[in-house]
Amino acid sequence: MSFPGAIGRAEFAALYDEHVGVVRSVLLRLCPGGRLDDLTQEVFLRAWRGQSSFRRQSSAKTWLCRIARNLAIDELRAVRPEPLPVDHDAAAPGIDPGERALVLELLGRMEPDDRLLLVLLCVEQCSIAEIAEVLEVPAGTVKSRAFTLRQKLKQELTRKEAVHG
Amino acid sequence: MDEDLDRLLRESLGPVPQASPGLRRRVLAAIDSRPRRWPQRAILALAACVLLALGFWQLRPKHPPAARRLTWVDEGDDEADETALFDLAAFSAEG
Repeated sequence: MSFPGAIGRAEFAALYDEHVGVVRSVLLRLCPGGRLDDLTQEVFLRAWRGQSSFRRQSSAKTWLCRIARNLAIDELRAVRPEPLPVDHDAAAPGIDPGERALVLELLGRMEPDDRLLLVLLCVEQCSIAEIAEVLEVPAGTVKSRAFTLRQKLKQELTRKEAVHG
Repeated sequence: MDEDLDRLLRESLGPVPQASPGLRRRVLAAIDSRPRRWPQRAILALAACVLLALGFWQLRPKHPPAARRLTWVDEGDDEADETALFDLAAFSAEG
C-alpha cells in the first residue's frame, strides 16, 4: 500500500536515470574498490523504502547523495578502506601521471566528508547549498571547509613538487 | 587558481564507469518486490489517536447520570401509582 505523496514507480525510474551518475560518483570516490553496482542498487532501494525521509523542499539529487554518503560511510566502517584507484586508461592526456598519483594520494588521506566535499564541489559542480544539504552542515561551514581544503591541497602539491623536482 | 585545482582534481579522478542497463533493470525489479515504508509521522499520529480513544473509553462514566436515574424512578412510580389506582377502582366497583 502506498502513502499519500509517495513517488510512483515511473517517477522513481526517472529519478534513477537522472541521478544514477552522481550517486555512483559519490560511492566510487568514498568507497574505491567497493561493489559499485551493489552499492548503487542499495542506495536506490533505501531511497524507495525510505521515501518518507524525502523532504520535498530539498532536491532529489541531494537526498540521494545523502543516502549514498551514509551507505558509503557504513561500508567504510565494515571494510578496510582502499586507496583511490589509479586508472591509467582514464587519465586525461594533458595530465602528468606523477601529479595525478599525488592528487589521488592526498585525496585518499582525507576524511571521507572532506573528500566528498571536494568531489561534489569540483567534480560534480554542486552548489554550496546542495553540499550543505548532503553533508548536513551549515552552508558557511561548507564554504570555510572548502577554502581550507583547497589551500591545504595546493600547499601539499607545491611542497611535494618542490621535493620531487 | 581554483579553476586549475578543480580541473586537476577532475582529470585525476577520471570518469565514473557508467551504470549498465542491467543494473537499471535489477534496481527496478528489486523495488517492485519491496514495499515502501509508511511515514513515521503517520504511524505516530495513528498510535496517538488509538491511545486517546482508549483513554476516553477508560474514563467513560460507569453508571448512568443521577438525573436520568431519578426520572426513571419517577416514571416507575407513576406507573405503580396508576396500577394502584386501577386496582382501587376495580375493588370499589366490585364492592
